[in-house]
Amino acid sequence: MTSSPAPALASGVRAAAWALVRTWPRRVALSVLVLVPALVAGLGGFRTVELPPPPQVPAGEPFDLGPAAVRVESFFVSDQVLTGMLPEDAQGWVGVLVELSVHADDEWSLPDEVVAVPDLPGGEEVAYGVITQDDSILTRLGPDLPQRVALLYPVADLGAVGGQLQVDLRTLTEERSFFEGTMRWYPGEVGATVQVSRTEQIPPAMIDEQ
Amino acid sequence: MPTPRYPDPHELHTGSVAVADLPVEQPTATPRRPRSGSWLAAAMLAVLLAVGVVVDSVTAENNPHPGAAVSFAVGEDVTLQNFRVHVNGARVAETILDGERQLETAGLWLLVDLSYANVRRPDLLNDLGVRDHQGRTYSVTDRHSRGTWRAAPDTWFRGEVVFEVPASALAEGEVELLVWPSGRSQAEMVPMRYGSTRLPVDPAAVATEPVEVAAVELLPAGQR
Repeated sequence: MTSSPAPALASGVRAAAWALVRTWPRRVALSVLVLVPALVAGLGGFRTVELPPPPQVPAGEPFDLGPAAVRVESFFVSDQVLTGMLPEDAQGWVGVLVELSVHADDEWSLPDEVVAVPDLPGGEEVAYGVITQDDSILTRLGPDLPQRVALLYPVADLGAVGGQLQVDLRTLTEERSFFEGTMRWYPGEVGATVQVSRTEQIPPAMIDEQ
Repeated sequence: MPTPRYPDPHELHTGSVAVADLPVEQPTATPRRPRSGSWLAAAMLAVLLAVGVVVDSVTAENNPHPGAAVSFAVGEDVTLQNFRVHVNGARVAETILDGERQLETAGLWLLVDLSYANVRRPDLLNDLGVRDHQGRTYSVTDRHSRGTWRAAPDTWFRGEVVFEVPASALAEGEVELLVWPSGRSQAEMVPMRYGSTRLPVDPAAVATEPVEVAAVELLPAGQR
């Protein structure tokens, strides 16, 4: 005759429970495991903390991203620059003028999401970086070679862009890449914001010939 | 017959039980030795720990492949995988021309005069670098459009490749020119050969007038 599974399960559970509380050291350990989280929760230790807003950096002041320093100057709005790369649904570009200077030992490429314009739809990522002096696309930055760059974000309605924009700067942290084993810079949280004003002075080399 | 067991101390005290003598294990003359399996396990654990410590300390910064660089001199041919490379020299300029455009820099333009051919099949030598005395590394600039090098086996092309470097990189009068025949990332991750030469540069002889980068040209047989 075979016993039904329910009593067997119940007896198994009872045996396991008894095994957990059979000796005093086990009882103490179990109560600590249960009581400590309950105590922390009761004291509010698991609450979500509101982080203070990132600090404001004045326009034109340098901010250290980690491998490089950035100085955000101003922004322009134009449908006359980099027209060949303009997405179909965009009227033109917002160009945030910055100076970037790498102080690491090696070349570094600016990740798309490090400088963002949250006020713009799709402003979370840079579409292109253009070197203002010669209108060439920024691919990488050399150590200790400051470069003035226009970071371009496509805009669907140029008329909707006001005279001020907030620019978010994410700091980067250096971590070892899991797969390659080499050190790499990874974008983190927004480390600072900059309020920049609009300028009508578009770098002349960037303006496309009609 | 009395139960052959060890007496309870209480029973011994009260005399309520008769206890049969049990054979008592006599201490042997030699101390008990651990089994060989224990020694083996301990040795394996020690080896594993040692391997873990060594692997943990070997990082990219330790440069586990320092022997992959092939040193060569300016003015001599060097064979690096599918490339034969010959470096002729270098010059420095404040401004260079790219077509009609003037390219300016916060540093200086380093123009390296070199020629190369292939060994087995036509291929482009794309990855070259310059490392200064501070260890700062710069690859060929993308700001200047490079000419087309249609090199092939025994078909040598000569021209200038352009690097953008800070003036302080040339302060020591020489830089290390690096030739990565299979790409820089490959050269630094696997133990493959890449070229390295000390390239003399005169920091005082900087052209102040805009300089035109030498066009790529096909060389007659035997020339470099």
